Amino acid sequence: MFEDCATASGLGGSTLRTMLCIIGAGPAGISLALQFIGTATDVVLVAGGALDHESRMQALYAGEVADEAMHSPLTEYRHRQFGGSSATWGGRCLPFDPIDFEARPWIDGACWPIAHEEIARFYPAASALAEIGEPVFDAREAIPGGMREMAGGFAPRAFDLDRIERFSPPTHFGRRYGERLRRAPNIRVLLNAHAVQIERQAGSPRIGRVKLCTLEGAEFSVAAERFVIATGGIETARLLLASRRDDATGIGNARDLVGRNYLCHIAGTMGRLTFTRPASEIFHGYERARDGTYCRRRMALRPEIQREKRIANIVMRLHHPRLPDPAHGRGILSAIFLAKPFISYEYSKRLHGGDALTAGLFLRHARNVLREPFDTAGFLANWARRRRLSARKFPSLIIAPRNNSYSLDIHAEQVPNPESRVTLGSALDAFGQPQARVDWRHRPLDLESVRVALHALKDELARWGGGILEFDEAEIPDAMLSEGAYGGHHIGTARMGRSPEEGVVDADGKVFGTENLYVAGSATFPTSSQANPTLTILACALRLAAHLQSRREHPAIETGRAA
Amino acid sequence: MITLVAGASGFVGSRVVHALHSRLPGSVRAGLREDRADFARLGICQSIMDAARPATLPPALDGVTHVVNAIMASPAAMIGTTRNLLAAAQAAGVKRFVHLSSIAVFGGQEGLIRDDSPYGADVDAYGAAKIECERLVRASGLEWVILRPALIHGAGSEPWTARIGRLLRQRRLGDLAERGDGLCNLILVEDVVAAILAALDRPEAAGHAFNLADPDPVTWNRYLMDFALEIGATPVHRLPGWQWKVEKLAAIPLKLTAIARDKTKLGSLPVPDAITPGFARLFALDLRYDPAKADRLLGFPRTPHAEGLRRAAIWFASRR
Repeated sequence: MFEDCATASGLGGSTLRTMLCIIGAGPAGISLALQFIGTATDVVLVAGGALDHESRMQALYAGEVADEAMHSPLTEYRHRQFGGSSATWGGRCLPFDPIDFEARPWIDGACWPIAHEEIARFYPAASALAEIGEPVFDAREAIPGGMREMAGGFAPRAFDLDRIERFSPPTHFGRRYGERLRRAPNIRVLLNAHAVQIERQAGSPRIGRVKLCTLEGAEFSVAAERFVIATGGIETARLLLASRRDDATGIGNARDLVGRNYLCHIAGTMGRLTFTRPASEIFHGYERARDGTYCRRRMALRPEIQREKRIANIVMRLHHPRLPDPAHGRGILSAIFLAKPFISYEYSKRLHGGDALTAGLFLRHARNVLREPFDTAGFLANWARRRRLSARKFPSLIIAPRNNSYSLDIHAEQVPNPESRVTLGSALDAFGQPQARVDWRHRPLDLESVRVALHALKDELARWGGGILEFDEAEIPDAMLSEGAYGGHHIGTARMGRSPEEGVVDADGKVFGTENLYVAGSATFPTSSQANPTLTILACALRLAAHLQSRREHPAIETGRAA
Repeated sequence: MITLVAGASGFVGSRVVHALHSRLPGSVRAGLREDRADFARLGICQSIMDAARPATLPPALDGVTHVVNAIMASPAAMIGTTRNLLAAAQAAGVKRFVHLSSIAVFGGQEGLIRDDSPYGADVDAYGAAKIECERLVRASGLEWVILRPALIHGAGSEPWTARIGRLLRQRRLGDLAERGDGLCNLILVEDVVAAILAALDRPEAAGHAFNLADPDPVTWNRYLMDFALEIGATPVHRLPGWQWKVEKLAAIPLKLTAIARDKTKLGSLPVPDAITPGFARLFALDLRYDPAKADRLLGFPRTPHAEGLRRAAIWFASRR
């Protein structure tokens, strides 16, 4: 059932009692709650927002960014509403790789306390939640007869071209699964309820309650046997750090690890890959699996090469030429560049880079558009049909260049870095809570991995003889850091570890130093992988649900089954 | 044992006739309004009868020990035909009367429905007539078994195989997202036939009503996806919100056109299937039928889900 705390009366001062309290109703929190439908566990799911986007809720995400060139404002890429940031995601899904879970001596702090298999067994169910069809991530099997080759005859030793990504429609978890939660008698969804403090039972390793506020001024709490924080990579750190009533430095932060190792991805577009083979043999687009899912190949640097070269995990995709440079001569690319004001912040930033539109640039792009009016109009009509009018959306722009010359879209792991941090800022939000402050930092190895991988690809192409990769090493920092931390992948701030020295949470996701507080979501990932995080967030949430269901807590003295 | 199948030309009735005949030639009598060539070819005994006309029944029931009432009739007609058939069966000294009812007797209930769950309060005219027929059967003094099949699919099923297949091919059904999370309570026609045979045979079934549905139903989304893959309606379409609005607007004109076509005998005029709001709501209904009693007392063999889908798809593909 749903309860809107903004309009509910009599909440002030009350304590709701339940068995499991999940704080955060994004993909992780909703997926976790779904697993308890029809079980004997009463669940309260705390959603710090409304059913739809509301700017006064979104404003609660405001915070400080140490270097604005290196990180987007904290109100972007995140949605404070029921369904969380799935309201804005692109839908790209692929599993983490086995190497991501291994100790890699050349990467400090890279190690999961669990094996890949521990997560991998939840990928099929996670794939169902993300609506990506069959959980098949191999190009040879995803489509009957196999997917089209990326470049006919190109079989590099260093790269696996058969790894694919599958695309969610993209699923808005609030809209997709809200009705199921609403109908479940044992699930109580609190809308517009904002967690501000996690409180221990007096002098105990047990968490007793979480204090909630509404913008209307009500303060109340939820007492539970167990709590899960699922508020995303930034808010998880903020809530733990701000919970200072019982622990001076914040819950779970006895070793000053909460908020550290804040990771995103190293991503950008660069280089020029010109194929000398006929354009008909080159394919960089999407194909649809029989179940309707869009699938796409990528070039994944093989794990043995990562070990040999001592670098991080990385993938590359063939990409259309850079938009802002009118030299590409494509009307449609120029049209999209000129449409910048009409495209959402997140996508506009990705597509346009930081280039400002000058009058001269405008004219050159306008000339491109006017030169290919039918081509451009046809593309736009097709785009409207396959994206605007479709429930399973065509995932991204695919435009083959006129000259068989592509750029490379690079998506690389960011290696752990304790100096990359989410901390509490000095400004306060509407509840008097400190805002988050993000100081995202990268390490030399992050860019070195890109450099080495580009050279590896260049060598492979030369050996093959069907294409030539040109790039300027000096371009790498600008290209890979043009956006700074990439997008909305907020990872690592409550990392999993074998011990309190190594992590904030243990292998089960339980916060060290507590008996009954768990974290779900990408905050717990010790490493970022090359993969986008959502599918693994879902798999981890499902794993946590299985863990919570496998061992029931003894009811605590202070709490009890909800009346 | 001689079994009269009343309604022997119908979708279920004809299959029961064939099943009884292949089990033991000579043990079945097909009760129908017009001769069927396929029955005649096999040497199946046919009795021309019309349950709406009581005088036609005694000859059909002469020497019969068991009756299967598989007559399909409108709500207005079915109570009369059932009453007539029951009276004639009693007069003929029939030992067991197997009556095909419907899950429509439960109306729009959700949750777990058992064989002895109360009738729905919100039933439509069809459900109300089915309830009345069940009351007549129970009060008849005959030894009876009531079977309530859920949505019967498989070879020959116009609504649940042919229509669904057409709509999938036309991209009017597919991945329904949050509108398709309801449970899909299908039963394969072969399994309905097997249940009827068990209801004729098993002494312990007497005096019981059974709901016949997949004991482990999948969601509509899963079923539609699997069936679309089986019939090659790929890539499977995910329905956007605007398409549901268009369907809702189109449903009444389509329905009226189809009715007009049937009334004016323009039977060949192709009218697209309507996705009425009632039909669309079905995909979200969260209900299932408890199979425990049917498994215990009827114990009929059930076809695995995947095999049922495969057979339905083969039939669908073989249609003209």
